[in-house]
Order: sequence, then structure tokens, then C-alpha cells
Amino acid sequence: MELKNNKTLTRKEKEYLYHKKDIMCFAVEVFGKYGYETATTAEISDSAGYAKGSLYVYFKNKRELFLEVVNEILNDIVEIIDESFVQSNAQQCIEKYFENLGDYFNANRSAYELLMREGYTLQKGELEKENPALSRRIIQLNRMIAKKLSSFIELKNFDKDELEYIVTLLHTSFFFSQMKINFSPKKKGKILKMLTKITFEGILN
Amino acid sequence: MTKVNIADRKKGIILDVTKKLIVQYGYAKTTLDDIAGALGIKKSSLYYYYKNKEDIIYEVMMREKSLYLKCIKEALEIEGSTLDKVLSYERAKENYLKESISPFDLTVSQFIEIKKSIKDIFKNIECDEKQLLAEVISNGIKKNELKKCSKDRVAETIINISEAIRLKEFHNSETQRMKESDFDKVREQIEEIINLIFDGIKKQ
Repeated sequence: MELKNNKTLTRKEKEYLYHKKDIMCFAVEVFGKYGYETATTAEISDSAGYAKGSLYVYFKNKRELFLEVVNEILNDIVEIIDESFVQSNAQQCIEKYFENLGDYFNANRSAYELLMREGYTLQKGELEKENPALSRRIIQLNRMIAKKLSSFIELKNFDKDELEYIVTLLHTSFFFSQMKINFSPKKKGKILKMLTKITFEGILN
Repeated sequence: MTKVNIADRKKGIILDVTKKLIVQYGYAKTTLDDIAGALGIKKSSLYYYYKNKEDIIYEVMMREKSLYLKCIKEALEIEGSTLDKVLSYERAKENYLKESISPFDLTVSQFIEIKKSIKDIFKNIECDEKQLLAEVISNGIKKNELKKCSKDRVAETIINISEAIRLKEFHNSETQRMKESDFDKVREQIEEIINLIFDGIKKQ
């Protein structure tokens, strides 16, 4: 069942979507806590307060549920990108983006845990065969930001790949800095703000 | 040879063996029995030199700390611009990690576990490292080579981001074993971001 215009949905369809979202909320937590391999659908339906089998009314299997959850997180991130890139210059946009990203993950710690756990496996080749659309979306996040950056004239002449690389490095720094002492995402957003300022302006005289 | 020297030498051997055991089996799994066993002495003899496991580990780390700080200090003292110095420091750091840790079959989680269990010492090292780096940056500012910027923040940022790049590479290496992570790739990425930090991406 695909999401159509909300008004044209019947009551049953609305209920269906509601339950689907409900399960996904709990699924993020379970996946974030145990990782994809160890998490079980029983655990998810249990934590969400559904009967064991009813999860399969909404999702074919654990994999499908997992991918939908990831897709949902990506949707949120895309939204954050769009919200953040309304500032007047590139630096402010990037600073705002990481601030918002930090706030988002701070409020959704399980989503953050999930990406940290599964981020790498998600980028590996298998997903490309299994779900090319989703696989492309992940790669496109960096590209999307790079594209937005390229419209700012105050930046030096970087080509698309170079900009994408810079964004990748910033993301790396967001996700992996201070990993060992479990920094809160909000604090990481702040670190990134500092890094952004320094990288944009440069410290050379 | 005086008696003191023999004791010192024995202590040195104990530290060598302990370091090897920790990087091989992890901090928690290494026991005093293991250390004594590997040395071929009785556990009780160890107590002659050290109070307990933590005491030995502390000494191992302190020795490692002075080696490491000496290594990066030398790298920061080379002739050239501030950028040259920072790049030389990153290379030295990478080499140190490659040579002193990667020969052992250490997984990322073991590495993080060691770091967590002796957090204070690591914090201490990071603090000294930050100071060394900040000093070089502050000299750069004095020489008018660099803009007026907060030396501590810049130093902290440089340490943070190179650490992040390193951890990502370990994290993503197929087997999560440190010795198999791509040190050249890490170095390349770190050099690139440091160039960006110095040069800035905005038109001047």
C-alpha cells in the first residue's frame, strides 16, 4: 500500500499506515540497540506491543522492515539538509546543517546508533543489488550537499567531486570523532561548527 | 653492574612482555598469571617489582607516552612552515601507530577497550599532544604566518578530525583488524583535510 494524498485514504488505510509507523518507531530502537543481525522481529513486535505475527501484515520480513527504517532516517536527513540550506552563505548553511543533524540524532539516539552500527554494511555492494534505490540514496546524501554548496559563489573553484569529498570528510568527522568516549551527537554538532569555521576561512594568513 | 640497574632492567623486561600481552589479548583478559607465565617466573616474584596489574599497566603506558610524545615532538620541530610541521607531525603519528600497534593482531574493539580502560592516561597524552600542537600554531601566529585564531581550538580540531578519519578506516576495514587498515589512505585523507584547514575553502 503506497502513501497517497492523506485525504483520499480510507479509515482502514490510515490505520494501516499508523500501525506501520508505530512498528517502525520501535524497530529503530531495537535495531539500534542490538544491530541488524542480532535483532529479532519477535523482539520488535514485543516492544511495540503487537502480537508476534502481526508484524508480517505490514512488512514482508526483518530485512524489509530494516530497509524501510533506514529509508525513513534518510528522509529525515534530506529534510534537515533542505531546512539548513536556507542561509545566505555556504558556511552558515553547513554550520546550521551540522547543528540540526546533532539535534536530530540527539533526539533520536537509536537512529544514530543504528547508523553507526550498520553504516558500513549498508554501503557495501550487496544493497546495490537488493535495493538499488536505497543504495543510491545513501551515496547521494554527500552529493546532494555538494551540489547545494556549488551554487555559492564565495567558494574557491572546486569541482563537484572535490566538494563531495570535502562533505564526506566533514561527515566522517561528525560520526567518528570522539567515538571512544561516546560523545553526545549534540556535542558533536558543536565540534563540527568549529571545524566548519576553520575549514572555510583557513588559518593561513 | 649495580643492583639498581638489574632491577631496572628486569622491570623493563616485564613492561615489554606486558605490552605485548595487552595488545594481543586485550586489557581485561591479560592477567598477572599470564605475564608471569610469559616471563617464566612466579607470580609472586612480580609483586617484588609491582603492586598489581594496574601498576604494571600504568608503567607500560607511561613509558609508551614518553616514547610517543618524543616522536611527535621531534616531528614538530622540523624546519619549515607551520603547515610543514603539522604534516610532519601527522606522518610521525601515523608511522608510530603503524609500527608500534599494527604488528600485533589487534582488533578495533580491543583497541577501543584498552583506550577506555585507561582513559585517564590517554586523556593525559592527548592533553600534552594538544599543547605541543597549540604551541606550534601559536608560533605560526606570532610569525604572522597564520591568522589570529584560537590556537587551542585549532589544535583540538586537528586532533579530532585525524582521529575520526583513522577510526572510520579501522571501523570499515573488512576484518576490523588494525594491521589491515589502509594506512596510506588514512594519511592521504588526513593530509588533505589539513591542507583545507590551512588554506580554507572560501575565496580570500
